[in-house]
Amino acid sequence: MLGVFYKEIKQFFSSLVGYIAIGIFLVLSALFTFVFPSTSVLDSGFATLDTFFSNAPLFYLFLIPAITMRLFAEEYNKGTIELLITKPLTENQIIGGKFLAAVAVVVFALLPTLVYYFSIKKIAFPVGNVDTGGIMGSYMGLLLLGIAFVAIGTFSSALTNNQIISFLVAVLLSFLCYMGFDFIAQLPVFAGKLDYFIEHLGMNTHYLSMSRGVIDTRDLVYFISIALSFLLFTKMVLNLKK
Amino acid sequence: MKAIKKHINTVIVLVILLVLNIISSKIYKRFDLTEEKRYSISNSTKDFLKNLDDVVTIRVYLTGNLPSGMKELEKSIETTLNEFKAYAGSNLQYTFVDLSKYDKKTQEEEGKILYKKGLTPINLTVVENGEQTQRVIFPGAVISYKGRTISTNLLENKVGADQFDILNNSIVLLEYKFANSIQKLQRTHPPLVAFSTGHGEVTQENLGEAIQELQSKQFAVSTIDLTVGYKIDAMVDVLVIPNPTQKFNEKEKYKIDQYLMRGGKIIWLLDHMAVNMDSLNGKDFFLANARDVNLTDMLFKYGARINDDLILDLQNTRLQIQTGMANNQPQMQWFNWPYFNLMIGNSGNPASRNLAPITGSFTSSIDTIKNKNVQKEILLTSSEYSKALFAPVRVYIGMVKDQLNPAIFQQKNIPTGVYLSGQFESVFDDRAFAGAYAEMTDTIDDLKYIDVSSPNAKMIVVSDGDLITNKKARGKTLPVGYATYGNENKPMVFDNLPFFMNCVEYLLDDNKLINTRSKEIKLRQLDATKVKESKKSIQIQNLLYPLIAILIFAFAYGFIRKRTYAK
Repeated sequence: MLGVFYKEIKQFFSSLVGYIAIGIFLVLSALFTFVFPSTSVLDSGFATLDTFFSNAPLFYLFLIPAITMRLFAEEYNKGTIELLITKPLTENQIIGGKFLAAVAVVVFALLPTLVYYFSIKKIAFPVGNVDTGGIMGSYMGLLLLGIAFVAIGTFSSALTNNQIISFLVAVLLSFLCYMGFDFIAQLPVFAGKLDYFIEHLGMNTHYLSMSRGVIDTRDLVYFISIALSFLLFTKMVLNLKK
Repeated sequence: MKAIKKHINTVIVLVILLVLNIISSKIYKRFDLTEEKRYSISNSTKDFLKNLDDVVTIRVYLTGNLPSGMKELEKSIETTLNEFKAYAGSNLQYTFVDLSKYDKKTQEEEGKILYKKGLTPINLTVVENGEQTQRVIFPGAVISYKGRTISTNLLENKVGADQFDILNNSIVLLEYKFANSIQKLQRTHPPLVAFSTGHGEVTQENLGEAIQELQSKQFAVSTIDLTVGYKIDAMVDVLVIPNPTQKFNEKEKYKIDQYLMRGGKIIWLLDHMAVNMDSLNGKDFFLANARDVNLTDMLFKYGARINDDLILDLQNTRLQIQTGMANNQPQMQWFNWPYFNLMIGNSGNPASRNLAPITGSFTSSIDTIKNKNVQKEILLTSSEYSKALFAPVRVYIGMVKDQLNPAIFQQKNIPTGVYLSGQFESVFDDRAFAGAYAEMTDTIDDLKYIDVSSPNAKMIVVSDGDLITNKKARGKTLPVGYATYGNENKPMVFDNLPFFMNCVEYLLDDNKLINTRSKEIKLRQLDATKVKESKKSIQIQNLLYPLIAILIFAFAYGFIRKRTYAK
């Protein structure tokens, strides 16, 4: 599995596309968090990173599909999937290696945003008056959401041998899993009875709960389940394509 | 065949995951990472609950067929009450009452009763029997103890707040509301807060919001004219003296003094400088002079002195000034106005902890006086960039156009609010007046002169008389604490009223339950001066540093790769 992991990481950092995706993610995050007056922390007057944590999931919607789009799609396109399968590796190891590599890249993209934290800390009043624990909790929420999105992206990549289609499917699926259930829950048919349940099927509710800075085992179990489910679906798809 | 088997395994794993999720929704643990443990139940509540001496019955009316946001609140209520029960045992009983289960007539009657008890109904769109209908919901609870009942609204429905914030605030405050209500029930009568009159204080009309807030929090509110009568009734639990502008005479001071000696609690809201923004009409400046309402010696004896000065602060709210005319339209512009400072609450005291800033206008500095039986705690201060100017102060409009140089504002955190507690000595100790007055009254038992208070007497002194005044602008009454800060198009309501309510609750709180009153994450301030000075560079740093980091990594990675391949 480590072999697959290193190979994927190496490929990612050798390609320009990856750097561009991360670059755009960081630029958007910085613009929304610090520059655009309607969302800027500097104009709000308060020392929090709330705007970053509420916008980051939306930026994820293109960052993560861009990271994951080639995982399997490229192997299919180039035919290298045969090579991979004939190697003495189990499917779980292949999927796991690729998945973890993509998660590592997401972490790599998130790390530079710590600059925001230090910068807010410096201009907080009095200096250092930020809720470090709360922000750590929010980062954990963002990480878990990222893991779930990566699993969705991995699955989308296994569906097709076209990277663009893989990207688009991943965006759509991630969006549906993130916000879709909220929209469904708002339908009048479900009002009052099922809407609470439906909302909790979606990621938004769980992410909001974590982004307050409370780590709840229910949310942890939820995100890990989502990730595992999509990795299982990936395995199913790979098997069907054999 | 093998493929199908594999799929069966997948389905089994999926089912296991589903079961795990269902189990985890029943058995779970929460780790509150926030600094002030905003989402956890506190030790003072636990102790308080363990020491209940009779059964507390709680009826919660938020249940049944509800939209999901309300259901979230309902669940949090249940979590909180469950947590409570873990410590109170059989001394706490709670039920959820679904009014919609009753017939129409009973519903209406029950609703009326609940409304009278002080619960605020809200209208919700719900689906019943496949049809959308409007339903009236009471998102609150009625709590009973030893035959007394009290009601509390559990939804913090602030106008304009977004739904997530409303919900979040409501959830955060649940513990406090329940614990506080139970504590109130342990008293035989609702605590009485009296506002003094008779010395040109803020009018009742301009205290409307504060009075309303007190009443909604189950306080009895009254006024007390200090110029009449022999004493302040011992029934008054907290006496508020809101910005008197006329002199107190010795008799009136004696009444206040003896009220304190007999266990009364006082909140002084005093402006020590006679300033009115109207004095600026059509002028460039005016001189602000000290105003003496003849209370200085009294406060001095108790342990605090409000100085004859004005605090100027770089951390301030803004003032709109006409800068010229264009097309017959006045041109208005916003300026920093250092006389309207933003005071910061001391995080060491529960009355001022976790509050957004508090707006002050023309505040003065407060010194504490050495006095070994009285403890002093600073509740409010000016910012790190402030200065106090001694009277008479030239308040001039040109100030706004000056570059406000931080180097000039070198005094840090000047006290503007102080909490005094301990054993106070009477101001009338050794004074002929007390003797003369006492002679008249000594025959009546509860008017006897007392020269020291009990060891746990309390008072709060704030050097802003208008702290809880509803100000007016163009005929409209503004909310308490309403001011413009940062974004010019978004005036905001600062935490003056919550601070005042905290002060009242803190003075009356024997179980330290106010510790559980905490607030949401958003209330940490940025240093407005630093933001203003270095906005551009902060923006550039946050935009570029992450990118530079990535670029450096990319080059380093490429370099190392080349070298490995070159080998």
